[in-house]
Amino acid sequence: MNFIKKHILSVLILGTLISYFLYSEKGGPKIADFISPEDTDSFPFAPPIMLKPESAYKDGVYTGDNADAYYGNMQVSIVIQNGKLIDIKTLDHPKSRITSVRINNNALPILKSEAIKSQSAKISAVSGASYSSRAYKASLASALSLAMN
Amino acid sequence: MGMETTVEIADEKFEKGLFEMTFIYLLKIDEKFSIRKSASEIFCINSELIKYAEYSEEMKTIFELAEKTKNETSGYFDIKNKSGKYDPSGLVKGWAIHNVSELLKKQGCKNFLVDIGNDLQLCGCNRDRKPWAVGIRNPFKFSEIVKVVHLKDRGIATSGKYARGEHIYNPHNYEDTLDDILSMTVIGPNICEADRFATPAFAMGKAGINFIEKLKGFEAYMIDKSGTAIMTSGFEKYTKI
Repeated sequence: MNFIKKHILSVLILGTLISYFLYSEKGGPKIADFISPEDTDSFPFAPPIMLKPESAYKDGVYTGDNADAYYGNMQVSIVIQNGKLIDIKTLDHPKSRITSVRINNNALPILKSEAIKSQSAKISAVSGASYSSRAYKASLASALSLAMN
Repeated sequence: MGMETTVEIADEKFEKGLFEMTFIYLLKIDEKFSIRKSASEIFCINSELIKYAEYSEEMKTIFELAEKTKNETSGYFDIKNKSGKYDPSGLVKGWAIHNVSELLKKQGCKNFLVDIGNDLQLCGCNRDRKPWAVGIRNPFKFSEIVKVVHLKDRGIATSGKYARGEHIYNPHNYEDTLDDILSMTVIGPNICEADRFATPAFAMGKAGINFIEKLKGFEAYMIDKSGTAIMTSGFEKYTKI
């Protein structure tokens, strides 16, 4: 019994020491402990940010807030000209960790959007989801036969 | 494959037999890859009558390309359909158009377009000595186009469910109705490349446009169910002549 008590104490001390070393640096577990750089590639692709129509933006240069990106700061500056977003500059972004650079490589781009509208232009061909012409003709033929007197 | 096929040659002079050569080649492809024809190689594969080592060279090429595409799209591209049978038709179409294009080039053609089921390879220029003008179909109205792009030495493929119904599915989630977006048009260095990424990009839903944005050398135009189009950052260069 004494032997076990002696060893339980050693195990407790050892366990505490191990926990201390695992979590000691700058307080608390880090995300890097749970997500390796490779994992960022398997994150599901995120949907894009949509720009508002041109009339919503005033011309000028605008600097975004200095945002906490967990591993450092992130700040962008944008240029609006003729109501359009023509340039985005990164003034500051986290560079200190390999993990954070990988996340920045996966950063969401801002993509242009527009309402679709009919075009009338001279074209040589059309790209679109296709239908099977064999099925179309078969269906047409059967409809025609139904229409026959 | 039961699809409308068009070949237009804009060169001033070309051999008359080229069109026949093209259609004979396409018939051969259909014989091999049509999942509906019981004598086709793919039908035999699905009936487990042939093993991988016995596949023809062309079939092996397709299966290797399928595997490569599956890895590059985190599994969103898969030639196995929901019932577990192999259906490489999504890949074969682009690959076949690309081969036709190479055949024509070997015969000296420089300016032409090849269109199978509205997936296109554009080479050189049209008769007006300008890049080929291609319209992107309005998924809400089949007879309308909503965007015009001007392409030279490029392939363009559009993936969508609006014409043929349920042939596309999300391999990561069979229950996904894939209703978010109606069409995904991809422009790539050739039609084989554009085609193999168009279907998985569609299966990714709204995130598909980001996938193409990250792919070097590819641009895309995605139309969602609200009639809003989102384009990759380099797409607009194709809208100018």
